[in-house]
Amino acid sequence: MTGGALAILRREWMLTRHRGANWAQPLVFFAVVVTAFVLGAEPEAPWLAEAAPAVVWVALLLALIVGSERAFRDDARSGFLQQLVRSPAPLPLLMFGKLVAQWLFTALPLVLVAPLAMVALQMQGEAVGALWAALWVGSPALSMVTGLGAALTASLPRAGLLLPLCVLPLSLPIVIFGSGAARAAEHGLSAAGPLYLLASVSLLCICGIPFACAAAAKLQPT
Amino acid sequence: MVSASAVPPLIEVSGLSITRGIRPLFEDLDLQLHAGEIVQVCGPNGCGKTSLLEVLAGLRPPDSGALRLPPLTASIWVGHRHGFAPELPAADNLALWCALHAVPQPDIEGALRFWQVPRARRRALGALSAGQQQRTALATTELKKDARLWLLDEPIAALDTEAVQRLSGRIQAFCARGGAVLLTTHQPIQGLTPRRVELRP
Repeated sequence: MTGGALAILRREWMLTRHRGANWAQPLVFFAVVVTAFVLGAEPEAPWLAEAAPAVVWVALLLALIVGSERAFRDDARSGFLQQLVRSPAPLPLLMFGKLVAQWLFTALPLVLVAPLAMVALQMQGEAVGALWAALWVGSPALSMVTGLGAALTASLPRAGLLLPLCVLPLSLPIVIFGSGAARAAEHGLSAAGPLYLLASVSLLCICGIPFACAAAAKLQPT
Repeated sequence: MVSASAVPPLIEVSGLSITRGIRPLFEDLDLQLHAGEIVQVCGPNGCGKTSLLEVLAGLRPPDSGALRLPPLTASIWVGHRHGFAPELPAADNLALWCALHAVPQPDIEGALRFWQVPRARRRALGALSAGQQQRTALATTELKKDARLWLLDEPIAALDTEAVQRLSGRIQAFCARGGAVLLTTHQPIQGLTPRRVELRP
C-alpha cells in the first residue's frame, strides 16, 4: 500500500535533480528576503533581533509558496494528478507522499540554513535555539498548508495570485506560535508552550491535509 | 455454451448525460461493451468523446445516468495527457506508472522495445517526438497484463502507419483474449472493424 507513496517520493527526488537550478529557487528567495531586511534596517538597531523571528518565519512562508506553486501546477497540466486518481493506492496516502517530498526537498534546506539568517538578524543566545526548534517543529505544518493551497489552485488561471490568499489565513497561527517560541526564550521564559502548540498544529496538518489535497486532486477539471 | 448476451457486459451505461458548463455535450446515451468487443466512439470535435471516456475512466462524475463499470484496476486509460514527467526518461516514467498501478514485475524494457521507443537512459521523454511519447503511453498496455478494458482517447493521432498497424494487431490480440476496447478516433484504424457509437449534441 505504501509502494505508491514511496514511488512518488522517488519521482520527486528525481525531478528535483533533473530541474537543477529550479531546486534552489526557494532557497535564493529566502536569502534575498532576509538579506534585504538586514540591509534595509540599521545593523545595530535593538529592534532587529526582536523582529528577527517574525522575519525568518515570513521569509520561510514566502519561499515555501514560491516552491510549492510549481509542484502541483505541473502535475495538473501533465495529467499526473489524473493518474493518481486512477491509482488503486489510497489517494490521501499518495498525496501524503507528495507533501512529504515537498517538505524534504523544499522546506528542509530552508530550515537547515535558517541559523545563518538568525545570526545575520542579530539574534543571540537561547532565542536562536528556540527559533530553530520552532522551525523544525512548525515547518511541516507550514509546508503542508502551502501544499494544500497549491493543490487547490493548481489548475486555476491566476494561481500565483490566489495561492498566497488561500495560504495566508491558515499560516498565520503557525507564524505567530513560531515567533512566540523565540520571544519567550528571549525574555527568559520557557519556549515549551508555543513549541507544543506548533507540534500539535503540525500533527493536525499531517493527519488532515493529505485528505484535503486528495479531494482537491479529484476536483481538478479534466 | 453460454451466449454472449447472458454474460454481463463489462460496461453498462444508461441515460448518460454530460454537460460542460451549462452546455449539454450529449444526453441520454445508452451503451454496452462486452468482453471481446471493440467500440469506436465517433462524432464531431467538441461533441463529448473525451468527456465520455473520462467518465468511464472514473475521472469525472456524469451529470445524470446510471453506470456499471469494472474496477479502476481492471482498466487502462490512455488520454491526451499521459501524466508523464517530461524531464525523466521514458523507462523511469513507466516504472513510476507501474508502481502507482501496482503492476508486479513489469517488463519495461520489453514494452519500450516493442513500441520502438528510444531507450537511452539519459534521454528525457520531453526530448522525444509527440509520436514517440504516444508510443510510450501505449506501452502501458503491454505492462498491465491483467487489464480487461482499454480506454484509448485518440490513440493514433500522432502515430505513423507502422505504429498504427502495431496498435491494430495488439487490439485484436487483446480482444481475442477476452479484453474489450473503447476508443475515440476520427480516422479508421486499418484491420479493425469496431462497432461505432455516434455521439450527437
